[in-house]
Amino acid sequence: MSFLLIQFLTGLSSAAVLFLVASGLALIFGVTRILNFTHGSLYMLGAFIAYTLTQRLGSDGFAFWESLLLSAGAVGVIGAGIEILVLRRIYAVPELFQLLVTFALVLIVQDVALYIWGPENLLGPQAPGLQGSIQIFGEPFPTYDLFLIGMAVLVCGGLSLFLNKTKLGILIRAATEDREMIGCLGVNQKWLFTGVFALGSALAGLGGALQLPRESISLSMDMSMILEVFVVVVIGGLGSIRGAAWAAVIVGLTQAFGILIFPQITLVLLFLIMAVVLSIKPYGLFGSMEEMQIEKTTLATGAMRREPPFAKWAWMALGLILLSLPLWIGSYGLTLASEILIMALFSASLYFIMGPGGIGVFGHALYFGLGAYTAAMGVKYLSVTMPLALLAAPFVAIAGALLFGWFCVRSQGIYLAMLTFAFAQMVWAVAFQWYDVTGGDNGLLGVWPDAWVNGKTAFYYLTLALTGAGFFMLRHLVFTPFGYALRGVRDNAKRAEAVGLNGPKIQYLGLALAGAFAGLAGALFAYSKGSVFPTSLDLNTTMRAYVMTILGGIGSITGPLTGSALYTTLESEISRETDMWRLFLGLIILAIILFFPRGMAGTLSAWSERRKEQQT
Amino acid sequence: MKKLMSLVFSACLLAGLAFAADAPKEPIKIGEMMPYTGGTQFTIPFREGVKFAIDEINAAGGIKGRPLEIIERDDHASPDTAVRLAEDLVFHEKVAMLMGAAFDNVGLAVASYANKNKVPFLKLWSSSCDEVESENNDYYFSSTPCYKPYVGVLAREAAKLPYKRWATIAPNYVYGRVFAKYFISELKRLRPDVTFVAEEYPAPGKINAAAEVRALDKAKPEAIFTCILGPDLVSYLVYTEKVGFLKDKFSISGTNIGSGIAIREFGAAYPKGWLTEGVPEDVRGHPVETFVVAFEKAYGKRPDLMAVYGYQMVQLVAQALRDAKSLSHDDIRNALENVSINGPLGHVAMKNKQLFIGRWLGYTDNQNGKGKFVNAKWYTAEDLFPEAFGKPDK
Repeated sequence: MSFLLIQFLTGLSSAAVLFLVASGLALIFGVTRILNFTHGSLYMLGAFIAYTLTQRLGSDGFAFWESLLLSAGAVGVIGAGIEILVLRRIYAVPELFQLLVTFALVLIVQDVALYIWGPENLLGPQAPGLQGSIQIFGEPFPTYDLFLIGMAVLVCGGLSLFLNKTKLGILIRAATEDREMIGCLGVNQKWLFTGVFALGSALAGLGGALQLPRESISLSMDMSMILEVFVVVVIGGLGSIRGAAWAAVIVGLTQAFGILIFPQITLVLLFLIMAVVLSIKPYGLFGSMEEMQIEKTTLATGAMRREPPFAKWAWMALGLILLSLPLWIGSYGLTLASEILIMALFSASLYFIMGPGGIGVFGHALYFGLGAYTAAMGVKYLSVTMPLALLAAPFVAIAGALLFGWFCVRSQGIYLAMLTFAFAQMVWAVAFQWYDVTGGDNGLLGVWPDAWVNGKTAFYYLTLALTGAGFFMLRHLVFTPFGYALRGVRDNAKRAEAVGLNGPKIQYLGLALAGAFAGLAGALFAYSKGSVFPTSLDLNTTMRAYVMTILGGIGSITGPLTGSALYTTLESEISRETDMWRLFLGLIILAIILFFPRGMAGTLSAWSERRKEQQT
Repeated sequence: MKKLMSLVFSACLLAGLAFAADAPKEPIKIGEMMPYTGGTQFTIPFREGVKFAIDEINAAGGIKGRPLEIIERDDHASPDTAVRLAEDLVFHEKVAMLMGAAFDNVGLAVASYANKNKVPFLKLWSSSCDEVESENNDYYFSSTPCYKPYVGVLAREAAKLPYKRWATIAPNYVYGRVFAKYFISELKRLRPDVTFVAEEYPAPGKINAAAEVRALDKAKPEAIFTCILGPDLVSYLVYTEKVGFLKDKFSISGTNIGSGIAIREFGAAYPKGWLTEGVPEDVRGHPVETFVVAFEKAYGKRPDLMAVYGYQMVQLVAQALRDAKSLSHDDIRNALENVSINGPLGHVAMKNKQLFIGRWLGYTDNQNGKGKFVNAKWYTAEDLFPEAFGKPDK
């Protein structure tokens, strides 16, 4: 009995930390509708700043608590600064662009923190008076963890009082319900948003600072926290503080007891809970359908035109350049070119589902990884030849997409995106842990191409042929009746339904098709690298494709190709020159979204259109 | 003004010519990949050690009359990136060999690449024994013994202790699992009376210290083999300190926590009385002393153990290059196969594609919140790995 009680309290103490950080994220999302990746970085900054302050001010008695509060305040100010300098400019752009901006900020904060605090992990002081543990029914329980539970209850109570009883709080709730209405009422939205962002950031900072006596402060704190907190906020229903509280408790307790019953499940448990909740309640525990209707993810890029006549010549020129590449680019250049083509196909498959399909997905790496593992396992266990592996990969990916997509298309917007992410994480966990079959984190090795394409030039031409075919098929699909139907559902689901289109079914098929091309790209990738690791299934791989797609421009199928070329070359060149490549990459992404929101290819075509208009 | 410019120009030209005449020898390039970014603190001292060795070798006239040059690349701790970098290094930079790639998955990907392209590759550390045992891995070498001999040493020490109820806790990585499993099988072989009462494999980077400690506590072990590392280990230490879990238990650390980085990182949470590998403060009379003194003179600080490893790795590479008949990849590979040096860690030798090195074993201590590595005893490579050096097992 006492064992269960202690375990219950352990679960509650992890729930407490989750809630502190998640409440801030929910608050920010509720008002600004931005799913803020930077929240994890602010949490990390809170911990680092609190560490520095305890070093400066001392760590006994009052000074310790003062440091924690000051740190939360400082992070609030940083949050406000980010809102004013960056986010304020992008409230009008599509959600996924906003997400990418916050992702760029994550990269920037990473390198800034590395620069200020150095690479070594730091351990802060213990909380004065709360160092030890107290006996609960004869079992020791850390006093500080008990304090954390109290702290979370306090913050939860304080927030609900603030939101329900004060004028500012009521305005914030009103803004959560209807942003435009509050503007009509004469409230200065700008400062309301900044204020909410500062408050949410301060909560993240407080959460980070409170970790000081529990764990070491490291540069990987941001990503490990943001993923958990995203899940909590999504389970609770985006923007709902009450939902965040309940979700934190559910996640905290399930993890505490799950570890005891079935220790292998720790890596997937979080995502399993999310998948189960979203399958039953597609909008989270306390989220509602209506707000999703208002804020439906739109990447609507206007009508999609067929390319102008001169485009044919441009494609041919590009084709000639690509065909002649092996003659003049050298061995390394050729390897880079193969990688660019493969990643371009992967990005194009993401583009297909995101642009014409209008569906944001965070788990697209799932299909890429499935393709890669299909090839690797085929080679390793069945000794299949390369053509067979390349043929099988898209079909396995389609099977995966049909299986997981069935759950996903019942949700919408960010919920759908997070569901795809959950499934990707589950498959990742399987690949990571089932080491007898998948090789675990050590991966599967020796996946080299068959002898007839083993040379770099031969492999490049094979890649060019397959990715080229993939590109043209995707481009063609956009202009088929299916492509039009997909865009119809994207632009107006109700009207599409009225003319007899089955929206979810069309989106379901769209996901499967996109999955097939991602799978092909994955299999090619496996052969080009000679090995496959669980990293091919993780969020970084998805984010890479995102960055490429948006860098190139969401308006056309050429975007992913431009983006892939740009990104791969930049990454390869910047990291050759400097260790701070994340900072530069982040700044470049930021600059592109702020100044060229249509991406590189998009900006170029807009420029040529404008010229044409001037001429006529 | 114009005159001055042309004067400067011709001076530059002359200097350039003089330089060209003086140094007709192209440097021998070594490609190094390391996870320089991504919270990997050990790369900084490693880099210092590498640089120190390069400077020293070049000051002494280089190798085969040519200077040695390291081309550094950041592998981002990603196997895919590393394979691309390897391609760049081998075909663009035309390096004589590859080295580094600290992380297992990155190293394995590079090893696979190196074997396909027949380029010698010396990995920093090694855990997987499959790689060195595999027939198809002719171009792969590791700068430490793989886990079997490495963990075997710790199991031998553990067998001398009176404890009978053991537990293990290791990260849920492949290396964590093989470390723990091998420790269990070796200790059981040496001491049939020992039982293992718990095996914990927390999620790497996401340990739930409370739950793990409670699971261990339920099994009532007398001693624990601990392989978790970094922030996970710190969370574990902080929690065990709060609830007093480790007070009456003995621990062996499967990862090296007895040197500078760990002592700084763990701060006040540094454990007491753990058996581990490390570096003592006093190294007088030990082969590493010359390096420590010279390094302190050059950098004004004490070298970390990682700096010693970096220094040793370059020394080893240099020796292989000297031994090699020519600088072709195959000749360098053949030279690496039997290379041995008297370096900072004494006499070390490559056997079966793994480098057998000496090390200090000792105990952690914590006095008033300051960590220390005490009672260190130096074991030479021959002491630790008698089997590898053809001597009967003591």
